[in-house]
Parts: sequence; C-alpha cells; structure tokens
Amino acid sequence: MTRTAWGEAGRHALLIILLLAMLAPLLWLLLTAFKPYEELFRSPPTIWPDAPTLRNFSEGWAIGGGKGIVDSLIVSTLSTAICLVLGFPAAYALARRFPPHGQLSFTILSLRMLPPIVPVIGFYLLYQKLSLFDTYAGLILVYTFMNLPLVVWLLAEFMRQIPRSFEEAARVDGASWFQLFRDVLLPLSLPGVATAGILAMIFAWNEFLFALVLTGDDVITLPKALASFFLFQQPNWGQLGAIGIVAFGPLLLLSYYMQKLLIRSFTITQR
Amino acid sequence: MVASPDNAMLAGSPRRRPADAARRAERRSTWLLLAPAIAFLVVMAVWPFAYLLYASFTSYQLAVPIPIEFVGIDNFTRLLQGERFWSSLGITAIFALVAVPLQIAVGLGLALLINSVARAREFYASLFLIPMMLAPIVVGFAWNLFLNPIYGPLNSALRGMELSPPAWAQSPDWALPTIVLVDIWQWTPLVMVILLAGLRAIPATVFEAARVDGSTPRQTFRNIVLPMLAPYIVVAFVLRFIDSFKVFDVIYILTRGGPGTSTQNLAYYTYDLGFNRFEFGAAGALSIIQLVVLIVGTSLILAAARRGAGGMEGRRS
Repeated sequence: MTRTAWGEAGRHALLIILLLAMLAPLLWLLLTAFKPYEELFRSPPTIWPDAPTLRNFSEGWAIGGGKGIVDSLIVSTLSTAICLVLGFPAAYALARRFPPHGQLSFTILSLRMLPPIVPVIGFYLLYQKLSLFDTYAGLILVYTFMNLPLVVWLLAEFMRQIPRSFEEAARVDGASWFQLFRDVLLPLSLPGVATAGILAMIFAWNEFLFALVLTGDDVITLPKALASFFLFQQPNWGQLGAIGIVAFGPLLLLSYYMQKLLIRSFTITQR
Repeated sequence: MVASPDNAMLAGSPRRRPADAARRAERRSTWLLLAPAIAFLVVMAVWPFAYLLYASFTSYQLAVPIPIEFVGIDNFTRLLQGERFWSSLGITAIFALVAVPLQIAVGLGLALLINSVARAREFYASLFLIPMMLAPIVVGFAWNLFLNPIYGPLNSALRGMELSPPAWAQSPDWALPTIVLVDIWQWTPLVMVILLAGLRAIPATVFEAARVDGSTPRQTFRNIVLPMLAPYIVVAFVLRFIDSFKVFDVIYILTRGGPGTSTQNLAYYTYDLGFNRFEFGAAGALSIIQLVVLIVGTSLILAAARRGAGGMEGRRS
C-alpha cells in the first residue's frame, strides 16, 4: 500500500518535471514579454524582469499586432462560416446515403492530407491572373479549401450518431429541406458543428505558408506579421512575446476540451 | 413503403413504379446536397493544379522577361540531376523516418506514464497538448529566443555549468538536429493523445487476467499492451509521416534552410525556387515530384503496416 502510494507520488513528480522542462521555452517567452528593450539582450539574461513593463503590449498592438488580429479574425471566421454552410448539407448526404468508410469519405479526407506547399505555386499563378493576390477573398477561399474536407468528415461522423427517426418524423410532417436542417438536424448536431468550427478556426488562425505567399502589404495575418519582424537583425522579443501571448494564448484554454475530443475521435475511428 | 404523391408526379411516367420514383428523387437530393461542397473542392483543386502542371512543363520565370516556352520534361530532369534535390529529399526523409519514430517512442512513454497515475490524467494530457495547439510560427520564435547562443537562457545556463554549448540553429552541425528536436517537441503530443485513446480502449479485465496468470509488468507490456496498441501506432505513424512533408514554418523562422542548405527540406526548396528565385517552372515540377514521393511513400507504409498486422496475427495464432 505505502509502496504503491510512493510510486504514485514519484510518477506525479516525474510528470511535473517533464511538464516544466517541456514548457520552458514558452514560459521564457512569457517572461520576456514583460521585459523592457534594454533588458532583452543582456548576457547572462535576467530570469525575472528587473523592471517589468506593459509597454510591449501596447507597442506590439501598434506595430502590427492589432492589424494582425483584425485580419486573422476576418479571414478565419469567414472561411469557417463558409466551410460550415457548404459542409453541413454535404455531411448530411455523406452520413445518410454513403457507407461510413467508403470511397467518397476517403477521397474527401485525403484532400486534407495534401501538404500546402504542393498547390501553393498553382494558387499563386492563378491568383495573379484573377487579381485575388493580396485580398481577403483570396485567403478566405484557400482556407475554406484547406478546412472543408475535415469539416465535412467530422460533421458526418457526428450525424451518423443521430437516430434517423427524428428526420423521418419531420419529413412525415411535411417539413422542407431547409426546415429539416434548421429545426431538427442543426440543434441535434450542434456539438459537432462547434467542434468542426473551432478546429477550422484554429487551423486558419495558425496558418502561415499560404498567408506568406498569397498576400502582400494589404492583408497581414498574425503569423505573417510575426514572421516579418524577423527581417530585423535584432527582433524586439518583448513585443513578439506580447503579441504571441495575446493572439495565441487564448487557444491554449481550449486544450482541455481538445484532448477529450481527440481521444474520443481516435477511439471512434478505430471501431 | 408508400411513396408520397408529389414524388410519383415527379417521375412523370404513369408506368414507372412509385418506389423507383422515390429512389430517383432521393438520389437527386443526395447530389444536390453534395454538389456545392464537391464543386467548390473540385474547382479549388483542379484550377490551381492546371496552372501548376502548365508551369512545370514551361520555362516560367517571373524575373526574366522572356516569352514562356514549352520545355517538355526539362524542369524535371534538371531537378533530378541536381544535388540540391537529393539533399532536400534526404532532409525530408530525416523528418519522416527519424523524427517520426522518435515521436512515437517518446509519445508512447508519455502515454504510459500518464496512464499509470490514478489521478489528474486529463489535467496532464491537456497540458502536454500545448505545443501542438500553438502556431508553428510561435513555436519557431519561442525556440529561436530560447536557443539564442548569446542571450538565450539555455546556453547561458550551460555556460554557467562550465560547458561550451553549440550555437544550435546557427551552427552547421547542430542546425538540423535542432529543427528535428523542435518538430519532436511540437508533435509528440499528438502521438501521445492517439496512444492514450488506444490505452483507454484496452478493457481492464485484460490486465486483471494477466495479473491472475502471474504476468510481470514487462511481459504484460510486450505481450498485451504493445499488440493491442499496434493499430493506434500505425495511425499515428501514417498521420505524422504525411504531415512531415508539411514542415516549413519552423525552418523559415529558425534557419531559413541554412546554414548553407543544411536544413532545406523539399518544402523549403520549393518555396526558395518559387519565391526567392521566381523559377516557377522548376518550383512547379518540384511540387509535382513531392506529391508523387508522398503518395508512393504513404502507400508503401500502409502496405508494410498491413503486412505487419498480418504477420502479428500469424504469430499469435
């Protein structure tokens, strides 16, 4: 009894040490966000900021973080909305009229696996011709293309678990397709819609390569704004850290929900 | 089954059976529901791909104002004869075949450790998940700062211990191991989560039966846990193998493919050809070669996994 209790305590200690080691670079970035410029390049560096400041946050917002957040919000919310609108009916058809692991499911999902570097040259040349280069519409279209396969596939997985009797009852009552979707299927698959929407948002929010190649000076999403600071010899790490915390920190609050979701989804796929 | 009257009317012909009409109406509605999404995906896949194919068979260069000429497979042969193609293929292979197995090994250890504690499993799982939730760009600059040879905390601590640490991403010898390390750091959590799902799927009765039979923890691991986790390990391996072709952001932030070309994988080489040197013909050809490598590699791995699974069942029986 005592021996297993000690074993349990030891394992917790090991896990906590591993966690701290793993999170060290992120914790360092967190501390750096509160250091004034003069303190950034000291060697050896200070661990706790000598003169903690919040200036990096206001400056970070002013030098491009603000525009980055606005642009990233525009591009990721609109592309996610289009994904859900196009994906919802398709997922219904896929869930109800096709076998779960059929050819169509597989083809849609394999599009998701395509590395962005493969189509990016084609998109660049096409966008130059269509004047979509450096526009919100251009980036929104690419992100919709990137996320739609996953959204359809995830929504279909959720809809398969809704009993058919609900829709059959609605059809007997003479509901139209639109009514069926709005009043029956949408409320029942709301958790699935939320999951697919959150994932599509995160992927669009974090995406870098398409943003780097397909936009110029007009559309500057967060990852691109951050990367552009690296052109300077000595980037202002404090401002970078501040933007990173404000723009990407909130995503980490989702990680509890995400691990449950991921574990569940991988348990489903295996059955 | 009773067909509704309007379905029978849609069928148009009085001789057709109502059930047929209902089935036809259902098939039509299926395609109407699928059409917007499928049409969107097809247009967005085919149209740029047409440009990509066109570019890859021409002398498409933005920087040079010469007329675009059809050059056949010249771009492909020139790439395949160049040294840079093979070195960047080798670096992509290091991510796919060295970094991924290391991620599986570390992820397995972490999943077993988390699964072995009685309390707070979900707490640990969600904190260990943090690296994969972050944008690779943020990961890149967090590590860039952390490993900075002059004012970074790691080297300053190592110097404090009388060691002479390398310059990590800036050193020709250490740049590639550094990028691989960051890739392992970011993606081991995904493997961990998949394997945790696998461990959760093993029924507790199996472990009890093993204990009753006097199986040591090591035997239980080798003869029960590992075989039952095998399908999950395959899923993790295939997912990570495919994703290893996507490594780009971290290289862009940490090394820009350097020093020299020591961290330049296929993705970075393609970007460099296209957007630093504006040789779209060559970059297009390289994109297509990459796609072929990815498809062939994935098929080989899936075939090997299928054979492995067959072999394991053979041994067990």
